[in-house]
Order: sequence, then structure tokens, then C-alpha cells
Amino acid sequence: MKKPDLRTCTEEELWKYVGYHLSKEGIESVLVGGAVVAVYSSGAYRSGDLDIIVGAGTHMKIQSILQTLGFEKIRSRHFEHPDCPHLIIEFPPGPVSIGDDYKIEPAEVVVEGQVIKILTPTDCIRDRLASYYHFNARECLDQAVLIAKTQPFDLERIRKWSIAEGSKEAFEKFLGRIT
Amino acid sequence: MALEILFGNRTTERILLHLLHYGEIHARGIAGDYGSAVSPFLRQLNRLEDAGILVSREVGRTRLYGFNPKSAYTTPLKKLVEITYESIPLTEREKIFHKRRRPRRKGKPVL
Repeated sequence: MKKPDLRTCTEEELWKYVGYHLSKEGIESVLVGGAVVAVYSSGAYRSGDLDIIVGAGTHMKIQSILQTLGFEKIRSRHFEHPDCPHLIIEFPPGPVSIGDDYKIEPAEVVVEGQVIKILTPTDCIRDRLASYYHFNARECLDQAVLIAKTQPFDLERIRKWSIAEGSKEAFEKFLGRIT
Repeated sequence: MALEILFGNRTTERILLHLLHYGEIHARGIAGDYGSAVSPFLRQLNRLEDAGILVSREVGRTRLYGFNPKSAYTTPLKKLVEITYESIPLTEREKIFHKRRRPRRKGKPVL
């Protein structure tokens, strides 16, 4: 795969580059968090970091793959490339989960024959809303609205989940912003 | 208690019980409650945060830790902690969690 220009690359370009190389070495990865918003909003939102969840017990292998690609480990789970200081890659502990729900089925994207995964727009909205509901992070409500206005998603699923999370009122605020 | 055996150390058990009781804690506060050094609590708090089980935020110069509500582990873990918490006799619980941390109007006398 052609290496992107790391000095100017977007979250999406870096995710595909790293995800491709992980997949090629047999490591399944899922992009989660704010970078998913960057991907689905075509860069209208910039997260500045990539949260990638991989299977348990792959940490050493990941470190080796990323070092081969020129990344440096800056903390236990964080990597940075000297040519790409505007984007940090983090490997948070799994599993992929949104609140109590850990049976997440991510979307699949094929990059030059390698499958890489990303939260669906519906789960990306749930993930952002979870931060709004639990941490009162209003910027995450803005991100959820941004995705809801540009991507197809399952509103009914989000409504039911929000009620189960005890956040019916906050969900109504989200609904008011997208209708 | 069972949590200490499950997690392999007493400090983690104390942290989880304090979190269940108070909702949020800081390392110095919990160390003070047990009359212990801060560093073992800080080490375990950071370990639990790295594992995604806790989250933290800064308030002034203090870092407050709480259960991570976005983690799928939180609900089942809280249930486990609750079993241990409920098994502690009330008089003992009053001793362990003697420090009042819920909001209290400034200047209100303590009886």
C-alpha cells in the first residue's frame, strides 16, 4: 500500500495505512472514538488521535509492526510518527463496547484486499452520545449531530438504547438538534 | 475479602469499595481514610484507568477517579463490588467510610 504523506495526512488516511498493515499481519482492528467522526464527516471534524482496538495479547506484535512503519512508542499504549506529530495512535483496552453493550458489529472496509473495521454510523453516534450522557461532554453531542446529519443511521435503536442508559431527556436534546 | 483475592491485592479492593460508596475518589483522600501512603493507591488507580475500568478528570490540582460508565465491565464489576460492600457490617462500614464527601453548605456546623 502506498504510504500517505504523513506530514499532512488525515485521520482516515492514517487509519487505512495502519489498519492495512495490521490486517496484513493477521491483526483485526476496529477504529473507535473521535477519529470515527473524522472519517464519517470527511474531515469536517478533526480528532487529532486514532483509537484502535485490537485483540487481547497482540500488544508486542503491534509494537513491532508500528516500529517497522516508523512509529515510536511514547507511552504504554500510544504511538507517534516523527513525520506525523498532528496525529497520535492509541490502542485502548478492548473489547469494543458502548456502555453495557459489548456485542458491537463494526462495519468492514476493504483496503487493497485487507479488511479493516470501524464503528458503524449508528454506533459512532451512540459512542459520542455516551460521552454526552455520562460526562456531560457537549462537544460530543455536536459530533453525534454532525454524523446524524450526514450519515444514514438507526434512530430507533439509538432511542431505545438511550432510554436503557437512563438518558431519555438528553436523547430528546439530540433529537431536537437533528430534526 | 473476596475482592482482594480476586484482584490479587488489598489496595484495589479498597479503591473499588470506596468508589462504590463515594462515586468519585482521589488518591490522597482514600490513602488518608486508611492512614496509608498515597503511592500504592495512585499506582492501582492508574492501573485501573489504563485498563479502561476507571476514568479520571482534573478538578483544580486534584485528579478525581470514577468508574468508567462507557465500559462494558462497569455494571458487572459494580455488582461484584456491591456483594462485598453489603457483606461488611454497618458499624464497620461507618468506620471505613466515616468521611462525609457529599455536598455540604460552606460554614454549616458539624454536629
